[in-house]
Amino acid sequence: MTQATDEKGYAADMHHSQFKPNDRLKQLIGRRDWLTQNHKKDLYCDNAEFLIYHWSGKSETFAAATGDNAASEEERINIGDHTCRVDVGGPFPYLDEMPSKVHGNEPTVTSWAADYAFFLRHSDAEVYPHEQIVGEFHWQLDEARSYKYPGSHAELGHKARELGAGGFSLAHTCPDLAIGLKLGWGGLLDKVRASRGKHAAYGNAKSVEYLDASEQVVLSVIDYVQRHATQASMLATQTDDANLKANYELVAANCANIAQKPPSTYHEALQWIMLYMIVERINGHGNGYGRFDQLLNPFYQADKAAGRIDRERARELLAEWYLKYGPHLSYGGRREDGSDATNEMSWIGLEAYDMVGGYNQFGVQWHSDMDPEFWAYCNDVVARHGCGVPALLNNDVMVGSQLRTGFPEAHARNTSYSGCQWYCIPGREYQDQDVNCIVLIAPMQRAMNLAIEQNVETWDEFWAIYCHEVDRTSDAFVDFKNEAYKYHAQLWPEMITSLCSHGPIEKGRDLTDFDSVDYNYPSVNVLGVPNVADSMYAIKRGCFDEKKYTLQQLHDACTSDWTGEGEEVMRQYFLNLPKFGNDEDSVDAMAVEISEQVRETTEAKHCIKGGHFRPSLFQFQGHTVAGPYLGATPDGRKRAEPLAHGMNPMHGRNTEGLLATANSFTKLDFNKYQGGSLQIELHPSAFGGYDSRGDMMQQFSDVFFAQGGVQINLNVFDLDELRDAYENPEKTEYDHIVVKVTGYSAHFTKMDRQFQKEFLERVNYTKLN
Amino acid sequence: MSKQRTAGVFDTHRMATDDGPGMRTTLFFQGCPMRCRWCHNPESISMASKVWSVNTKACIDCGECARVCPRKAMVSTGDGRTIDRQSCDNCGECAEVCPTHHLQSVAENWTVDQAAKFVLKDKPFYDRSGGGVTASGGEPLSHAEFVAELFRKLQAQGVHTALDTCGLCSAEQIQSILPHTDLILWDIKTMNPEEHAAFTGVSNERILENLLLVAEWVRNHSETDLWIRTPLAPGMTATSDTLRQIGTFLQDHLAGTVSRWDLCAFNPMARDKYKRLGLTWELAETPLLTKDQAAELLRVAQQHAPAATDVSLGGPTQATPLTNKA
Repeated sequence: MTQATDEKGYAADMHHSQFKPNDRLKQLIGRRDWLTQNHKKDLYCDNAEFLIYHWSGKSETFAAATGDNAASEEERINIGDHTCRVDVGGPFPYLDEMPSKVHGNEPTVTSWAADYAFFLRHSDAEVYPHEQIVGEFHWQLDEARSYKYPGSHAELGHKARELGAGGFSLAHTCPDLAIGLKLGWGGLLDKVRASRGKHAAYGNAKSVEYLDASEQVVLSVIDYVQRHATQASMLATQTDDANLKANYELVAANCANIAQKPPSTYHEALQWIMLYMIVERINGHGNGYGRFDQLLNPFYQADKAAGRIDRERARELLAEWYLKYGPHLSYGGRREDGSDATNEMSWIGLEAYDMVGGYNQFGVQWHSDMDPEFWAYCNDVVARHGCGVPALLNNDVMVGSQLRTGFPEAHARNTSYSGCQWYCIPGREYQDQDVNCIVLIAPMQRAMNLAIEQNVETWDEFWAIYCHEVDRTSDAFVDFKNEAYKYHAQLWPEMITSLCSHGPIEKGRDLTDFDSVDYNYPSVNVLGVPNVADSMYAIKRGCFDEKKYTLQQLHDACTSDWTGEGEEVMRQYFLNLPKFGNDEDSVDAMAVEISEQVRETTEAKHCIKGGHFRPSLFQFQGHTVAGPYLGATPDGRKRAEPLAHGMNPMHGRNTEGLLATANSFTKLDFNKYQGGSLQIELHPSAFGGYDSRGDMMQQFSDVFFAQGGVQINLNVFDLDELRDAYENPEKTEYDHIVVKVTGYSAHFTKMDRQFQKEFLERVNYTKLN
Repeated sequence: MSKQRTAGVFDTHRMATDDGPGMRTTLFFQGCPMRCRWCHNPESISMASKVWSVNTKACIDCGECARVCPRKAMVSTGDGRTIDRQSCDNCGECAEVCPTHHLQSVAENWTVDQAAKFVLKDKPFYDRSGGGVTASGGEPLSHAEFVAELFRKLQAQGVHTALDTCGLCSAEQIQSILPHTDLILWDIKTMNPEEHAAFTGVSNERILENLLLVAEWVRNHSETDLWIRTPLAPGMTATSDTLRQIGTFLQDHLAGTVSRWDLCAFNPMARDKYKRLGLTWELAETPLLTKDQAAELLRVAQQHAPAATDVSLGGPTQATPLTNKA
């Protein structure tokens, strides 16, 4: 594969890092950049409807890149360089030999595991020059195995869609890697076999079937890891370059050591996690990977005490790990006893990023007792690099929301940031975080229609109708999800994740099954809360309090996209009423009421796996494309405009600056929701008189978190540059620009153009004179 | 209860990071006794608030303004309406009905309580960052009693107060406000009285006398801080001579009282404001200082300023036009 070899600015230089990559890392940076710049890491979904409802009606998850489940090239949307998979073009080479193609596809764990094992055994062990941590894959299982729920599921899905809801179930949880790091693949195999023996003695055929399948999966993984050792040994014999030879031999020794045994060094632990992540991501989309400083520090400290490693080497290896793929994981937080969990690995985690920069997804979990020097460094890194890494999280609010849901303290305290805006107790939850959605615009639009039909004259009556419609949407959503839960564990089990979870192997039930992991309280993203809050406030003022226009007039104007006679004047009236995000109590109170109402409605409903639903004040990218599907809204929004991003104020409506928006945000009690990130785009000039950007960032985040904010994604960029990049896609000079799009980072120039456009419309909290 | 004192506030800026330490809320007060040729806030000069468009592109040409204007001053431009300044008497009827709110009175009249409440919204951010409130303008001392009362109230609540002034006022006015002010940002534009009159319309004698009073106060009140600010207007104040003379003055008369001296590089971004007010601006097309010119001016200032005064340069120059890749 071609590599970028030209001399260029490295992130460490551009962003004034004191840690510089060595020559080996520079080679690996070149390869990382080449892969993203050539669209080798892109993630796709079927179509716009998938983004809006999180279910397309076509595939059951993100679009497979090739094969029967693939989306059409014309329709699919590029979410950006968001995948671990490296595209080499073409379908899986052994597609026709897949057991399910040869022997027939059964919706059973046995059939799934046979496909998985075959698939992994036919995936090459790949070792590239200069690497000391290896692992790379090119196809996911859904490119080779059919993935389709029964028709009853689609039927309920379309009903839910009609009422404004959807969702899928795949990954989006967080395994507890401590389990695997302790047992190794051999130990996991023993555990599976021991549990099988136990369940056989109980006469529990269902669990025996699952554990037999699991055994096949683990054996294929051991083979896959071992093949990396073989491949590296072979490459070592083929080179005369002493450095390369030494690298290959090191890789061979590490992979051989961890094929069965648990990792015994820091380097082996990183290699173990890398291959774990790959064999897990091969079965679909990804997960979070937990509290990296807590997982790695014991390995690092043991190596250091034995004189096997120093901080510089530990940093180099972690930087290499990031260069291969930077998934969601976390640093910081508290120990189980409540004390600060920050350790030397937390520092190394940040320093490694400071050295290589760019695309990454990790977050730092602040709390009021955090080591102030470490926290200062976190703010310094995100403000200097300016692309949302690390995401800044409020550990105490995250844990608070877990406790409120009913999880015991010992578990809740171990909560880890695991995805865009969500968090998870490693190995103990399966909750569909970030993959379900309620589009709140829909019940509001139905409420308007019904209120007109019924000649409603008071706001209270209107509000009652709205509440009823939110309830109807929620019911349709719950029916749809419950139908999926009936089939999920057999149709698409998640056996690798199950191995590193508490319960599945012991019980012989997949992580996705009933009564497997401890907590099943499905999450649901709510799309359009700020638009609905602004709209409902506008309806209340304009149609009921001031009676300036009738609901019928407003309805007609939205239907015609405000193009009728006198409707632009009318639109200006509604548009210029107070809007959420400006620290105005009147409309901010409506935002609180709207959020609370949908929370109470969804929390009152249970899934058939046991837990109630938990709303998140966030939605992944649906806002960019939803406009034309949902039409104009009473907040003065035109049809073609995007919706607000998550809980962030609608584009261009927050005119009072960042602190006003922060104050509006913290009027909500984030303990009650599963996440709700504040997205900040700053122009470099916003740092004004500050010598250090990190100082200003830290002052802001300290106050925002003290007041109850839960997450900050900070981008620092020059809007003119991004506009130029958008308008001149042929220019390559902007290829290095990484932005935190929602809860994930991506290279700006590699995103779908609609995503780019929406990003440009966000308010730059700036000051130019 | 007696009627509350009010003052015209024509703009506010939250999370200001250039008007004193930390994150601040800057209140811009209407009315200024000087007529600086480089003025960035031409809408703020007259005490009487005008009506203007805050964004001419927002006009949807609905004609509501023309319908209510008693003086027929809202004239058509083809794709919108503009104010005929000859006819307009700034009655504000048009702003009342404009559906897009782009027609507005430049200033709103605020009571002291209203201003204090607004400032206190961001108090936690001031506390954490060492910030507070800055009264700017226009000229805040056009409303000296109002600002003194506001500062007194805010100080009592633990808010750091900064006064950004041109210094042209009576000795009594400045003395009345000093006890409630934590930081004074004082403009010295040039030492030369004739030049000063030519650039700003007034001589600088009173300003410098007042500054000596302020310095005296600062000497006796170590909790009060004094910063000097000098606008670097190309072809006027942006000369080595100007900075050498100001530096020498600081050294001779103000040593030990001035902790910081800010040089503020000129930019022509106010040109649209002049246009919207129907005014022509002689500096509309003035280029930014070059990086080398700015560096040389900074060097001269540093050379002549008292040793304990920290001299800094802000604002854009040609080599770094408002962007920063770092």
